[in-house]
Amino acid sequence: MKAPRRLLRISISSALVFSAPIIVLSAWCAWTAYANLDAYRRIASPQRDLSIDDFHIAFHDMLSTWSNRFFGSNSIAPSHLPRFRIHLKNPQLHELMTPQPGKGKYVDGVLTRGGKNISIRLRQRGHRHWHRLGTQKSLKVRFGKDGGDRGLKAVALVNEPTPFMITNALIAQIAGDQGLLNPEPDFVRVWINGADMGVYRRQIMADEALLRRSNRYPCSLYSGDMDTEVPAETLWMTPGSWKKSAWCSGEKKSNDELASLLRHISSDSFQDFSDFAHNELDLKKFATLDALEILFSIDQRDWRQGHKLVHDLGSGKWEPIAWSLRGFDPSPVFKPSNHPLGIRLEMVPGYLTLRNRILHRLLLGPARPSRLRTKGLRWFKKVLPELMTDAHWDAYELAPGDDSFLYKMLRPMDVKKLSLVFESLMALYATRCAYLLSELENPTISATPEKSTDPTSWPFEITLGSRVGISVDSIRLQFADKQQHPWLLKVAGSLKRAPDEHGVLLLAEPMKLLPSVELVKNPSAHEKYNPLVTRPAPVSYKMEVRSDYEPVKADIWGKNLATSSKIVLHVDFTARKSGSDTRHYKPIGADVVPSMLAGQSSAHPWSYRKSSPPEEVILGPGDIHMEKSMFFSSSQKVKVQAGTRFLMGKGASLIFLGPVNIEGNPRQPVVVEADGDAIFGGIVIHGFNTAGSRIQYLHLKGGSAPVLFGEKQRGTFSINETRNILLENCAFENNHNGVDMLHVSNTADLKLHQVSVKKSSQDAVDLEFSKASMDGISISGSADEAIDLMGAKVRIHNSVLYMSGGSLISAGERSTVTIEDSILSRAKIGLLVKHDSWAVLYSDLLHECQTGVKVKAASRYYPKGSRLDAQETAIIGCGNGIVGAERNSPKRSAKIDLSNIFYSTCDRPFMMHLLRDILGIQRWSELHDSLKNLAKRGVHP
Amino acid sequence: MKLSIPGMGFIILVLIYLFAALFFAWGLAEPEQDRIWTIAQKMRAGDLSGISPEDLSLFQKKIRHDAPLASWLLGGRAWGLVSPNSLGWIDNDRVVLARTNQLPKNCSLNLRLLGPQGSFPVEITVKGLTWQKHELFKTSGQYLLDIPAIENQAEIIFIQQASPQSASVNFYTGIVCSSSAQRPGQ
Repeated sequence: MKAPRRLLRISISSALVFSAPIIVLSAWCAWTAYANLDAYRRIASPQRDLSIDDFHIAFHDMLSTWSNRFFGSNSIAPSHLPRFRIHLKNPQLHELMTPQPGKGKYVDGVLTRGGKNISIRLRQRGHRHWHRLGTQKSLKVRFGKDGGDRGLKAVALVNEPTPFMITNALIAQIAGDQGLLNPEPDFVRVWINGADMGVYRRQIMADEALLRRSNRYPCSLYSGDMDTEVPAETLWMTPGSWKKSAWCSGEKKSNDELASLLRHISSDSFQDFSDFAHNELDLKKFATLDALEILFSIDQRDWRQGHKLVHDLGSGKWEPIAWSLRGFDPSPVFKPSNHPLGIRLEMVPGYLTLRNRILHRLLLGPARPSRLRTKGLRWFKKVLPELMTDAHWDAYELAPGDDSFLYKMLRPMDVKKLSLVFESLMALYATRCAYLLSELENPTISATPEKSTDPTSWPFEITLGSRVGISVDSIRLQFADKQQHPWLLKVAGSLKRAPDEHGVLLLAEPMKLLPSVELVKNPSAHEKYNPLVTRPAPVSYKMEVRSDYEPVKADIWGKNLATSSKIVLHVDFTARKSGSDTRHYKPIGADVVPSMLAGQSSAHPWSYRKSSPPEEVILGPGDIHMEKSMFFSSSQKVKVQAGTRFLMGKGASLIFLGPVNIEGNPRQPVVVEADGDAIFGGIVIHGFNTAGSRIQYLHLKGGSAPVLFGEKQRGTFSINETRNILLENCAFENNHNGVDMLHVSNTADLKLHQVSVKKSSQDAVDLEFSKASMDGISISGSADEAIDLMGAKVRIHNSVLYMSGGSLISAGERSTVTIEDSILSRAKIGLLVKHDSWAVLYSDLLHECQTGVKVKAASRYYPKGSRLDAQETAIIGCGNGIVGAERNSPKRSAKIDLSNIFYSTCDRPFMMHLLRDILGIQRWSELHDSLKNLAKRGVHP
Repeated sequence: MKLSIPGMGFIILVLIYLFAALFFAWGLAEPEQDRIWTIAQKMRAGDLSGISPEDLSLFQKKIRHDAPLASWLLGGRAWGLVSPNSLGWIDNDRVVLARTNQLPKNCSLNLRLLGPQGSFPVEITVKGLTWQKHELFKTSGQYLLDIPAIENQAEIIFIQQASPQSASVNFYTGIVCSSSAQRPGQ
């Protein structure tokens, strides 16, 4: 009883003492919330006056975070996320966690993964508040020589700020499925010195490692990002504004190819840029990335930023990397951003159609709303168990967008908010898909007649007013007297043949009517990033019916070029008017150089040089002196007759972009050799139009490196980007200047039959990312490898490889090679298998090599190790038999499967078959001389 | 037992703890901005059943004087359907539409109803901030419904349709600012 009375009678000073804890706690909470809010304000909006509502939000967030930590679930469900356990010394930790201006300094640390310690260097990354402000800072991690995952040099660990945090990963996944290079985003859980830092988005850097992971040869990779202080067009005028983050060996500083690209963008006429784009840009990949950006309303790639371009060595073409894939912006605009390269591409005839077709396929296929929802849920299933126990899980855009300060403020996230955002975005996405489908499926087309003073001429025009083009397949006329009458269709000066007996004109090849665009000033607020955007411009296609009889109506059937759905148009000739409405239609010729100014529109697609049927070119027989290169375009079909001899001047080459048949025969081969002492270029077969080419009884003597589109090729005889090529009974010898003799890249279905290569100055045969079969090949005296494979799938049989400076066969970069009934003799290494490649030996002889077969273990970029299957194989006179098979080798990670391997001569049937049938000898004692003679002759017996 | 009158010290103690409790309760209470955000997400997702009448009323009051909020909701447009739709065609019985004062004054609500005769009559209720309309449609067709001119910066319009077989009725809505379709009763 006394105690309550004493409490009721407590003095003021005692009351204050008893209140002190709650006062201190309240003040401390209030101050902490205010300090957090103020720290954000100083970075995001220093001019802002904080209000009580702002403070309420900050205070509420702080209390919610604490209550989740104390009362939320701490148990982690089984998760598949990789772990990054990083250890730093305290001074390094302090330096890492202290907000720093600029890029921040690297500190040394150790990463523990899979029980192994990997030395790393790490620093803060990103200048926006979500990267720097909170405990969970975005980091860049560089790996030491031990390498990261599959040879990564560096990764970014990003504090993902978006509420729908899987956006990047989801879109990158679709981009990767479509064949685009992308940073392969994934999620990891990070601990630093035992403290849980939560879930991060892990992203590969745009460097050599990204190319190698995608089985690409290291080549030039450029990044274009510029701040807003300089004019937007600077990025597109000066190659120095770009950063080169990957290159071929020895070409780090050169950016000639980028300078050439920028020159084409800024200075080419419509025609020239179209030719350049078809030859040197991977249009399908550019169109695919474009389609993804439209689909997901991504505006990160604009005049100033977000560009990553690769100049692929094999194809010689530029392609984009799908980067900065933050999307799902609820913009009602068809295409949220653009840039000079994109604008020029949209003006290339056929590009818009290609892009729209890809977009339509995505909308109905892998990116349709129901599929996207499933993909999204799959990602959440992977990430959510970790997020639910992540005390640092936060996001912006968790307040209405009317106040940008609150909109961009990082706030605690939870599952309830995530599910709200997910449902809302899925609904918005479905609405956008419906809009895009409507744009593609409902083109604006009109078909209107025109007046004419000629009583037999009935002109009309078809005008396209939207993004979608059409093809015209057939036309039918109805006449006033309801009878069938003869008539002709005149289009662009050429007459189409008369219709069939039903009055229907069926076009042998559908007539494509392509859409057009024009540049307008960007009406939205983001003019600094997108000063100009494109919109559909009307384009008219004039046609004319020629008939002595009066038509009343024309029915035109065709297809929507984006969706392939049928289209029917009607021309009512009874409503003819004088002239056409030329308010919008101002045809521009393809020889004009466009300007990047509002009002500029595309050239009329019919003003481009037409691709005519292949012109037949016949060369030879007899001597042809070539002082300079002969270039045959894709529309020329070339036949070289037997007995032709090309006498090549200095640097001269034969370049074929269309189909070529070299028709030598045993008595009259086709010869290509130097005119006197000149060192000439060589022969190039390039591009898909060369498919089906046949090269028979060609003798190529000498040569070095031909030049195509300003680039030196890597083989005296180079074959690129094509398929179904046959080389039969050909001989190549004595080229110069350290160049491969036969270099093949990105070619499928190549056949080499009875081909010999003698004394090549580099590799004899080099195949990159190609598929080939080689039968009866004879190679001797190559300076480097006899056969060098990178990412290739090859079958070699009945072949003899003799004496090379490097390995006789080198299979690398995930190649697959089967070698049967073949002889490999006299080299440092007979067969080298490396970089996750797989070789199969069957009925082969490896003879007098320092090492018969070497199978390499895992390496930095190829952690799996290579594989060898060898059966019925003789390894004779070699210093080492098969290296990589030692049981106790610490580096053993290659898989080797051996059966019936012989290390001395005997009369096993397969060995006698090699001697008798491949070399034409009866006894082992004749082997040496036989191989020497073969090297001299250069051909098979 | 005598009841003691509490002294000043006790009153101060109680007041301080009471203020502290109120302070923390205020902190834990959901900020108005968060309520608005949640309501907007639910509208966009089509989950109108999860929004209470008080929340709808709060949103309506907030948006009428907040043009930037309407602009965010509509992606910068003068009007638009907030609920999920396929170019104006709606799958749900209830729809949220928003308009701003950027529209001309003489605009009407454009309704299109398509369905078998057995699904009619269809009852449409349209509710704005300070007005409400209720119409009965007896056949399929396109109709224009006059709506009062907007008085403030922006307005949310709720549209609800009811029919004997609502699953059979295709329902389209939008705003037009010139008229050629029939009006109800014409």
